[in-house]
Amino acid sequence: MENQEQVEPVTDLDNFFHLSFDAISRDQLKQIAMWSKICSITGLIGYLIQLYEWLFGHSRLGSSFGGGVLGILLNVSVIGGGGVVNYFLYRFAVAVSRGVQNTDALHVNSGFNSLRLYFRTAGILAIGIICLILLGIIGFLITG
Amino acid sequence: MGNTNVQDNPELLEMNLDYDGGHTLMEAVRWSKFLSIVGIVGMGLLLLVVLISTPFAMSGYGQLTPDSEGIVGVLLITLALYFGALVAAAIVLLRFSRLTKKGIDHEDQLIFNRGLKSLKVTFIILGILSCLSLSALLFSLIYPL
Repeated sequence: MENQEQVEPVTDLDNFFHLSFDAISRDQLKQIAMWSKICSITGLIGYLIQLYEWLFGHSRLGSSFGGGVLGILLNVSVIGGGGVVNYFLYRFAVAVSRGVQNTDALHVNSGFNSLRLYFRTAGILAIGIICLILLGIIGFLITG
Repeated sequence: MGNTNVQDNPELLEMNLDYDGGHTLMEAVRWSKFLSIVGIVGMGLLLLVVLISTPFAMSGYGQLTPDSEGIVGVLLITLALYFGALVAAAIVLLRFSRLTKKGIDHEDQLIFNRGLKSLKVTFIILGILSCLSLSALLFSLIYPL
């Protein structure tokens, strides 16, 4: 009896939405974690190559945004932003994978926080890109 | 005090979506909806640009060398497939946001699981695309044009 596993009882907040990660959703989460890990690692490697090319290479890839202050700003935004987004995705993948392996809902639930940060950062970057495109169109229309 | 044996209550081994996890997931769903709409519109426009510019690109660059027509054609088809796959990923992501929100709101396990399945499909498409993009990037570094 002393060796029996002791766990905290389930409270109302633990099952607030009356949704559980059953066998089907656990399998889905396992595959989500695997593919999001692939996405994040390949994305991070890609951005590291771009950073290397921009800093030390022949600038064939790095010069895609042109030189000058604007070019540096765009390079830093794209490479930095992309790196941060992929880092959040990697954190999500690791947390969910650990949670599913150990049957620990706490890790899965904290993984959703990283997913939220991933989508939010990507969304803010998308807003920035839309603003830049609109500015470019307005500038083109004004200058003719 | 307050602890319970797993043997007495097997349901304690269940993993539940807790209060904090559910609310963060709902916020993730909201941002994913925004991203998916921006993705459908943005990538759809780029796909349209590729399709419209195909005849002009073929007539402009297709006559430079004897085999340049084939190269330009393959390049344009690859671009169209790439943007098409991104549009498909954005549509599936929109489905994830819709189904997951509905599943949480209605406390419906089946719809919630279907939402997770859509997220899985999105990451499968994005994973394959990012692997192909990385391969193309490495190939262009090893064999520069």
